[in-house]
Amino acid sequence: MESLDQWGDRLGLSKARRRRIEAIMAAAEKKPARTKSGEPLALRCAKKASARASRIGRKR
Amino acid sequence: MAAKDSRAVFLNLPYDADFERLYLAYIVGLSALNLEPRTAFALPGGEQRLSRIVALLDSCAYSIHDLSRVQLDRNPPRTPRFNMPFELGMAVARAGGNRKGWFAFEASAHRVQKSLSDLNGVDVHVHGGTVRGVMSELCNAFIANGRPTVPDMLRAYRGLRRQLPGLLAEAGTRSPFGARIFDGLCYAAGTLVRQAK
Repeated sequence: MESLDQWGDRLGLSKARRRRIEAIMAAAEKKPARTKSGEPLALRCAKKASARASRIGRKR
Repeated sequence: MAAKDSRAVFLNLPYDADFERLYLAYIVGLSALNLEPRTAFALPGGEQRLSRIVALLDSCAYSIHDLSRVQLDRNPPRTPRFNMPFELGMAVARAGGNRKGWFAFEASAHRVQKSLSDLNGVDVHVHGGTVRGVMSELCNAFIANGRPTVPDMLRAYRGLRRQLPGLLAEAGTRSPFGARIFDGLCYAAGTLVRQAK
């Protein structure tokens, strides 16, 4: 298979547009934010919210 | 007649929202087979459009004609889409009635025998209306172009679906059916199939 550059040449895409598409693709594939310990941030937030909910529940 | 590009494939598909998944599957599948998909998006309407389609057919070594849309649409007057069989007829005529260079794809087995009985005796590629089916049938049609695996193609397809919103924004459109976004999709598909290998 030919290189990505050759593929871009074949499609007639300018270098600037290729870089723009590559930047968009890299941003979309970016890993989700993590805490210092390496735990996914979204999971940590969900745990905290769950713990808080059960604490409030106990107080009632 | 201009020389045919041995890696160019004219895609003759129904361009509507219901066909979006399979449209992306064709782009990824052909890119994985190291072939360049081409469409009639950039062509203007009217009389010139027909001569440009002929020029496009003449410049591509292969053409794919998806005959899935034979049913009536919902809007009155309810009409089937004739563009795909019409352009298939043009491709067959340009090939001098030979089977070389053009491929008919369908969603349902045996339906084409009823809808287009002139094709009886021709191998129609039945994809079942699925992404996997399209990729599998592309591998069968272009057997000489190496053998990328269908799971690799599916991985690249899932990547392209994830990338679609960003690519649409970059092209300044909401629809994936247009000349500018088509170039972007082809480039992104080429990137993803190289990563999926």
